[in-house]
Amino acid sequence: MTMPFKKLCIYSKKASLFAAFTLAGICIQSQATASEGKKDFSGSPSFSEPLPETSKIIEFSLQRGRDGHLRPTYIADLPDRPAYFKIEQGATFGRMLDQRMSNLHYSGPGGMLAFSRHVHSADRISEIGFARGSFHYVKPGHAGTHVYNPSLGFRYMQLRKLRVDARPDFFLGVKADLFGNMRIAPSLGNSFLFTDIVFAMQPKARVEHATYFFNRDWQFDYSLSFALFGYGMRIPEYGPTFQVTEDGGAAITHTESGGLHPGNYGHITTGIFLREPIGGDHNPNWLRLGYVWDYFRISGNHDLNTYHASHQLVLELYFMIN
Amino acid sequence: MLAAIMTMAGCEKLFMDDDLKSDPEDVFEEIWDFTDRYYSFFEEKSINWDSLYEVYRPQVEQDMSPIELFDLCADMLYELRDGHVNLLSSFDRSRYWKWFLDSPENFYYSVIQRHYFQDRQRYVGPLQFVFLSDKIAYVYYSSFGNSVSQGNLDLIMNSIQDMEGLIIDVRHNGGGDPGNGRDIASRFTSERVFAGTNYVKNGPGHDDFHAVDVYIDPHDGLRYDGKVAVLTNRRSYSATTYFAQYMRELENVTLIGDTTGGGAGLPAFRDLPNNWILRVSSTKFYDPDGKSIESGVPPHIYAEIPEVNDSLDLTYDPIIETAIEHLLD
Repeated sequence: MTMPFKKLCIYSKKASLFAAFTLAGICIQSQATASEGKKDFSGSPSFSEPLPETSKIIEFSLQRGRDGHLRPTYIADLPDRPAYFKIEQGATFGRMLDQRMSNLHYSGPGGMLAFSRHVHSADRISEIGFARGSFHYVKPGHAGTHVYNPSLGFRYMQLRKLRVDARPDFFLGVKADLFGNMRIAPSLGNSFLFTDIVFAMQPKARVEHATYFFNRDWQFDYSLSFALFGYGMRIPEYGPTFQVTEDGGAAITHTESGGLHPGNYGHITTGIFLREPIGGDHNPNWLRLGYVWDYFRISGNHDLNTYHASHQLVLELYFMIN
Repeated sequence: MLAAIMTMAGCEKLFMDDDLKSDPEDVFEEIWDFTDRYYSFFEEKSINWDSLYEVYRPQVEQDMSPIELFDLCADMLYELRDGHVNLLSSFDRSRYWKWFLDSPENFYYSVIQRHYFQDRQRYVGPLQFVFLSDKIAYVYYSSFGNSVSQGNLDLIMNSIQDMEGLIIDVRHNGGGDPGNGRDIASRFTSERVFAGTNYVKNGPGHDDFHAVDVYIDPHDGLRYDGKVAVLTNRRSYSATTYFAQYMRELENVTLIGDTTGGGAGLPAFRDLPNNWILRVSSTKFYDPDGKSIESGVPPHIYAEIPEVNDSLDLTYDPIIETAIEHLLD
């Protein structure tokens, strides 16, 4: 149904994988059948000039969509593994219950920030999250006291596309998280620190789906991951990790550690995202706006469990770095 | 999938244990239960917490006022005879102060200020430091909650190297951070000293404890190997009791005054659903002989200021004078 109308060849050392992320959301790489030394202006498909080996090219074209309107799309001579510097930032609302600290639910606002190296090729997605942090300022229902709830961690993710030519795109893989979740509770001249350190392997599924409404195509991503196994440390299992008395400190640590499995650890992360290209022809970057729900539970001895849930409104920015 | 996401996100409370209610019965149960699981001196003080439940629980009524409930819970907690047990509300703070109210005061700051400092003291961080003579130096430390730095201690150590003795006065010091006490004690020993064992609750049983041995390690820098007198009274509480115990184990140190107030249990806390906060002792400390210091660390030399009648002489401090005499002996 689509039809090439105009072709531009842009030579750039920083060309990128854009065909997979166009407004149309339609894979057009199949149209980019190379035919060296031959130009064809009569119709589809479009062709490019032979290029120096060190150069990369993006072909920009306007194509007619299902609605009959013309939209820009790209054909690119891309690196095999286009890599992005990814920045995640968001506003969050958290709810937690740490029965070592209190039997009350604490809830309140917060924020999150993460930096990753993200690779998104036609058949796989991989990501190394080298710094992930969040912070919540939570209170119990009566709002008389407050607790600081920071979290720091690292992430590795590897997803493979199940069928390259299938629509929607369906990725399946695994996510490995290492994170520390802390609760700092100032109370009666003392401050108490409670800490959990978790390493967990989580199967993850991701669906990338293009749909058409309001006279344009929209690219949506859905993701779901859940805990399978891992290793966790509760520092300590019974009482605070560290007690700060006014302005000093006293460690009274007694650590509980052991294997994590669905019986004592549950972790679900699910989200929905809208993806949009940004940056124009020379800067094939993109962003995602999304909503993420993250929940985990750690069961400890003596029926002292930790629950943590957060709603996250996230803006992800992807800047190509190769 | 979107519907599934929203459904799960909206029902997260279903994945958590219930939040507590703020009615009197739930509040009382939470107070009793938290104390039962975290309080550290039931065995040592021979307190039957279950029997106290039988006494106080029937008195809880759903329609009782917050003040009535507070007073009832405070009475129950008072039975623990512990200065580190408090119930805090917007209208009152329950407490147990008999550990010093039944004892002589043994400290008058104005006497120190007028007759020993005489406006000559240096404020070295939280420490007030003065030379009482060319042989004796004196330091007053009013709160272990005010952190003393290594720089503060270096300055004092440097100043007293030629002194025959040092007095460290921690009377009326209500405690704070025990780490400050360890830092100070490390300046008066040249070898590692076993100071006692800290027992930390690690389970709900009244005898569930995890033992941590506590040592005083000598400081790498400036130290003082002369004679030291530590002055204590009954209001030397909590971290000050720890400090007295640390110093008591050092060879060149003599404790003078009265037994410290005790308070050897580092507190744990709990938020309650009606905006109150509960605090209870959750550790205990035994000296190297296996004796608890919860009721205080005794001095080597008892000394006192005569009680206030018409005979109080505010021109000198008998406890300081005893210390001077001991150091010059």
